Amino acid sequence: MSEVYHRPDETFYVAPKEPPPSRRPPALTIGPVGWLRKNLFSSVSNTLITVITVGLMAAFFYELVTWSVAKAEWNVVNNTMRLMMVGLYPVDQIWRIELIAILLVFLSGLGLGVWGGNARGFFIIALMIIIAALFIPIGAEKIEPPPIRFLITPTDAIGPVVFVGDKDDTVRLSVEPIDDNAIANETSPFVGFIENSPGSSSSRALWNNAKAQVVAGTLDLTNYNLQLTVQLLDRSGKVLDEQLSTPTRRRVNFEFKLPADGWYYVQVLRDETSEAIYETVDGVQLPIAPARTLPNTGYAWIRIDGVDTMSSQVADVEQRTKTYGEVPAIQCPSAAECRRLLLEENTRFEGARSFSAFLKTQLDPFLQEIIVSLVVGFAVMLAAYSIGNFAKQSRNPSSKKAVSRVTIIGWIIFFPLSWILLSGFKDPDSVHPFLRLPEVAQSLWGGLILTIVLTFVSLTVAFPIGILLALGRRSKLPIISIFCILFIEVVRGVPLITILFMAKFIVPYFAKSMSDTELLIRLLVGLTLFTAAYNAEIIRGGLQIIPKGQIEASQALGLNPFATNAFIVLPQALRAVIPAMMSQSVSLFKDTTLVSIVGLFEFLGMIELIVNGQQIYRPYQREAYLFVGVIYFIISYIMSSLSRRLEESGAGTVRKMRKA
Amino acid sequence: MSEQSNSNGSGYIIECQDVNKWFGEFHVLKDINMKVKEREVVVVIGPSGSGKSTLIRCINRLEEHQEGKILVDGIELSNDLKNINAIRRETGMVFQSFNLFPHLTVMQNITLAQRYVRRRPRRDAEDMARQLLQRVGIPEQANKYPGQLSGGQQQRVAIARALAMQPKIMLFDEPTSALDPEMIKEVLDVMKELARSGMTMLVVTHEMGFAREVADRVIFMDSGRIVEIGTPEHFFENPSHERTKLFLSQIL
Ligand SMILES: Nc1ncnc2c1ncn2[C@@H]1O[C@H](COP(=O)(O)OP(=O)(O)OP(=O)(O)O)[C@@H](O)[C@H]1O
Ligand SMILES: [Mg+2]
Repeated sequence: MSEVYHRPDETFYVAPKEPPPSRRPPALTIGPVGWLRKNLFSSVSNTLITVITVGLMAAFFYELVTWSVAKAEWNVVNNTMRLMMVGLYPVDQIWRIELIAILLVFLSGLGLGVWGGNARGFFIIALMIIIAALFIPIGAEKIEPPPIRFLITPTDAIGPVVFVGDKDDTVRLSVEPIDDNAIANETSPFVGFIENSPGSSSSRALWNNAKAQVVAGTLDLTNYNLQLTVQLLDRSGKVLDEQLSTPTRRRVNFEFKLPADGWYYVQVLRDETSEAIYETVDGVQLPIAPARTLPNTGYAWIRIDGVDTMSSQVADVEQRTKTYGEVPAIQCPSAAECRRLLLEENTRFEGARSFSAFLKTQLDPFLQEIIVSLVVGFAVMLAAYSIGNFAKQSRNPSSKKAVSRVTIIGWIIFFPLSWILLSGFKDPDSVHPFLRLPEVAQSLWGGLILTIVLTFVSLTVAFPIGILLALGRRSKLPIISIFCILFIEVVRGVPLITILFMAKFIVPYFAKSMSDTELLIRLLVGLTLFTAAYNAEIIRGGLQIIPKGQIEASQALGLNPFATNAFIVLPQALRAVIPAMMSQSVSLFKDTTLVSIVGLFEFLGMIELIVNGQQIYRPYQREAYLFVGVIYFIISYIMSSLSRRLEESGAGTVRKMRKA
Repeated sequence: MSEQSNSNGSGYIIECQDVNKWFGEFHVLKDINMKVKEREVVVVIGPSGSGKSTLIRCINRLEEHQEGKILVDGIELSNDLKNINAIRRETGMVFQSFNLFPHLTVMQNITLAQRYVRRRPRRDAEDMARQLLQRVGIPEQANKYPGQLSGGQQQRVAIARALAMQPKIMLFDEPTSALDPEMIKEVLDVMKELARSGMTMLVVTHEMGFAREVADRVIFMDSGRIVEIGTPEHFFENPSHERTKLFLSQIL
């Protein structure tokens, strides 16, 4: 039969009357191994490239993950979460930001429900919820000041830790072993107090080794004797309380109630006597530390609870000075020791911890912090999704329409509403009691919320301006086109940071009326104009790909230039430039970091402030910046995923357009 | 309708008097004089580059002429935007490359200008669109996008889109030359039906069969000037001008 259909060797050919039946395409039968061979190991050089690349990636991730699990101290993230997220936004007003986060999640869920979503949609929303959940656990009244931990190494004690306290604040000091397990479980052996053997320098390996021996029970700790005196002093240097720590005690703790508002500091002294120490209990002298034969060295943590971290913003420093007086001038035990404290290597200790210790001491506190908001976030999302989905599935088409209209209106009022919620009213008594939100000065906004405000306000305002500039640049009226070209080229020719400096310093100088305007507003104007200029060029590119025939057809139908632009040119041009616009938006999102240079502390600026400005966090820059990177990446990923969805959605997508 | 348009007394709906146009230095239209009566079908033919498209595009001001006078329905084309808009409302145009709006459905393509320019309520505009789609033979395609239609269907949508404005004049610029032979016929059938219904049509085409069958008069252009105007019989059987004879001998 088949040779009737196919006779390639003949010069003349007439096909049979009936065409052959259609067949299914041949199945791909290579399987996973075949796929690997075909795609990764097809030749020697490809195999080499595959192996090297995979090897490098594996090595990098192995390092990163093991470090993150076994060594990193993520408490820096946990402890400073509020500052990183909302800056100095008043704690009792943070519920407004929580409300905004919930609204955002609700609207996203509603949209996903009504307009339908795929797996990626849900994934993006889950990411959004995680980000939203970082904005402080719902219902938390005041954040407990995080414990502050200082490392004591064989060569260092610690310099004075300065803090301000109010009358009747309770400060807790304790000396703890380093092992995370031991911290989580108070009964574990006192492995922190491990003496350095004479001659050899302190090393991690040594400590790990000793720790293993202690756990195995082969090392007797009675001979090891890190002896420290922990003192709490007031600003005049008077010792308010002190406690001796010795190896035989499980844990040294003491609590102290501060007598008055003011400056205090904690100081740790190394006890250099070599005699045994005794304590009198019930009239009997008991040795609590044996006589020392080795130098007084070893590792331990000093932990301080109940002390708030200090902001180094100028206004806050001034405020602090007014309330508590000048920072006390404190003499360090030795100048070298003070200075050495600032070095990461000398204050940061990296032992190795097990995975379960990681879960218990690193992940668990973090999860506890955000678990409530995570659950609430997912609940809100599910509720909204169900409402949307119910409307979508319902027989009555008008209910779908109603819900989708509500969603759109919701998104439209979401942005101004958020702004009002964030800033409150100057004169709260003048508005309806229901809306009586006290004003929160914009100088207090900070952290991630400020980054988000900067990004979205300048994006939404820059969008229409960009369109106008792009159209203006093509205008037939020379004045308009020259103005637009000049504006675009000047703005694009100047670095963003220069524009921000101009907004900060130069504009108020020329326009006196601007000098009272909040710095945030001035910087927003700068960012907006900057983005508008770039958007204009992107949109102009989109306008150029619209065939002339489209405009002619529109004119021939009698549509005026405005309608031609609004209905024919812009919808096509804008859709074509969604990817470019989105990448511009993502890069703006990242560029907002520059405002920290001119004095607003957005996300990155806040972290910088925390890890550079506060001694206690300085050793943990690695963790802090890694966290920053992850958050920036997640948000950028959300933004670009949304743009891909936008591209694929709706009528006459780009691909359909190309085909026409 | 005819009373009104004849109110200027001349009886012609399109009049070109000594029209000259240049593209830069290039003299593309030279002393064009021609008139089209109401309900007349006039076919413009000529070799490539002879200025046919330019002429037809001058009539609804997609191109601007520099000398002479063009009157459409008694209104003179000038830089006055009001006049241009008035004339564009009375003339529909169909392009060689369809120029449908790819981001709008067929229905939206046809209703957009009705609603925005004619200010017709949505329901009326959609009724009109459905009628016209019926008329051009593709009533079932209303909710598709242009990219989902064949070339012939797209061109028929384009005709429906122009007709929806209820123009007095239809201008066609080589409406079939971007189409496969099988689709040419369906578009020509629509145009023939339109001609029979009494529409005034000015058609640039290379379809000699169409010209012979439908045209009242044929205009032959060469290098920017009109060489010959005549009835199809006269033009095809017994052309007067040497250039016309040469042209016909090459294409027939
Ligand atoms: N925008 C323009 N600028 C400069 N020259 C042009 C322009 N449009 C057309 N021309 C020139 O004017 C002449 C006439 O062009 P036109 O498009 O009217 O010819 P045509 O008769 O329609 O030809 P065809 O049958 O190929 O469509 C051509 O030589 C063309 O190169
Ligand atoms: Mg042409």
